[in-house]
Amino acid sequence: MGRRRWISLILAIPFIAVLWPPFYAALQPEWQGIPYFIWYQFLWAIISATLTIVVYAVQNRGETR
Amino acid sequence: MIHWDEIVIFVGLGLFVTVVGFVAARWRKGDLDLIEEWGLAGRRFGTVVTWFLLGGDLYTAYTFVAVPALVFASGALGLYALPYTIIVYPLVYFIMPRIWQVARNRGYVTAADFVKDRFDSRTLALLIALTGILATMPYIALQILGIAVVIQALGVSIEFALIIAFVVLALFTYVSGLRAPALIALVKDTLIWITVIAAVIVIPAKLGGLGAVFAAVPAAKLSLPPALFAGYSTLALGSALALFLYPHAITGTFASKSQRVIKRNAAFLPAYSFLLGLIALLGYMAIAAGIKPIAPYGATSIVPQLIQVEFPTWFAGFALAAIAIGALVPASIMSIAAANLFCRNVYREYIKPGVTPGEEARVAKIASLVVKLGAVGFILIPGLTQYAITLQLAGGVWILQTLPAVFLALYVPWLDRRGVTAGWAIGMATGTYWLLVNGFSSSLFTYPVGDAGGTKLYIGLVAFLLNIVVVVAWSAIARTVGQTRTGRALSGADYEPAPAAAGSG
Repeated sequence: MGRRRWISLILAIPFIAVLWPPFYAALQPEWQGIPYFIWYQFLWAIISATLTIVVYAVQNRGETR
Repeated sequence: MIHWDEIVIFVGLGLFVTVVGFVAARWRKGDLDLIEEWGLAGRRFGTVVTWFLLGGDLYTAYTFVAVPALVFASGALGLYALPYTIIVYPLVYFIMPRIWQVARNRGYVTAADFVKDRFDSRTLALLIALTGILATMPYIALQILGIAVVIQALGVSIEFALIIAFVVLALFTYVSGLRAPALIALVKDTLIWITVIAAVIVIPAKLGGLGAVFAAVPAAKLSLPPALFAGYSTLALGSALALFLYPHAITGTFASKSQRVIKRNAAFLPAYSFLLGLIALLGYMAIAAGIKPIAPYGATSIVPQLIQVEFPTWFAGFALAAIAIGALVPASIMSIAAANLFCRNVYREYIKPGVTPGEEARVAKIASLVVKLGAVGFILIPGLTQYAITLQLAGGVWILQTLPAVFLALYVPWLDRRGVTAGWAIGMATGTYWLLVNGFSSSLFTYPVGDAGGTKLYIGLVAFLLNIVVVVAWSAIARTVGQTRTGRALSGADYEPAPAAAGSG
């Protein structure tokens, strides 16, 4: 039970990653011609969704219905 | 110029969704003379339907037009939609299952229903309901504006076409309730996904690749200047906190059948955030393609133009129809949500207590018509459109001030109703004041903090901070002196799934 609750904390990571623009307000490094500012935020849309799936999977493991 | 081939496809898709809207009345059949059936579709939607419903509800047609317009005009600031929709779902994952459960257990149709019981205060419930209605109405008007922007691109009479769109929207909402936008959302989202994926493949290819698109945009528009850092993140955070306080988001959430459905959607709805990010890039593509905004729609006209310039006519008709149909879904849900609020928290509470269930549903249906009529008026009467945009900006600031009464009250038992009311009043007053000083032109205000020149911050979030300080200080003092005024109707068990009913959800 303990671990199932603590896993929720990983959902704080996206907040830190995207609410602090100094981490990503830059043009370089580009990826496929896409500025860093833009691909970084798209990447975090994917990471954030993945983390939510992880939390859901851990917290609902073993429950039937 | 009238584009006949586009119009034929546009009208064909329009007729199709009209039929879908009326057929929806028979889908998962329930007694539509009850407000829980008409306004919440019986709280029976599973994961997939809820995904389409909330996706179609939150990512509105106006968003599809306005976000690229903001990127086109202001550059990187417009991309705040990305962090905003990235952080909203972790919040949804924790908060929304809890409010869904108490609403399900106690039969709440609106957030204000919860506030009334939680604080034992129909006055506070009324304030929360009126804030919701006020924030929703201009939002509906902007959906109608989204349709108008698309129709003008087709070259037909806006008045005539808007009246047809209104009649269709009003009738299917009246007849089918929330089932109609839910079923239409399946069609709408499919059209939107096809359109956006085609756009991000075809348009960059025609412009020489995505790299060439970004190379054609001034570098200043591709990243954020330090002066806007705080504005960018407060805008994202404030908008994320506000999104699920909007009545249409609450209605969409309450219609789901279990906590699990909501949690799964918190994991899968970010797909739409990615989609919205791609849509935002259309603003850069319009710059690269040399699109010029046309009066009176300004930058909002760039997306329809880009579609018409870069796509063959048959697909342009398809894409424009996708945006227009995209407006019908949120407009319908918003009008249902506003009607639910009026019916439950104004009519039943203040005008006619003891109203029968059948009459309750009838009042809600008529209220949904009135709300939409007002919205169409806003767009058709010359000069009022600008007010719709202004009020929608203010709506975001206002709805955020209901957070303590709705979300915080789910977790903190000692909140005092007088403190929450005072906090709401302070938040509404200061937020509106700063918007006024800004001439309602921007939701960022320069506050005398940080650097010598001040710092730009999102007005809604600063007003919310004042709000929460008042709420917490008042409640803490009231608690210390033993004078806390809070409701007694709810106990801890009301927030938990009922043991016997757990398997039936």
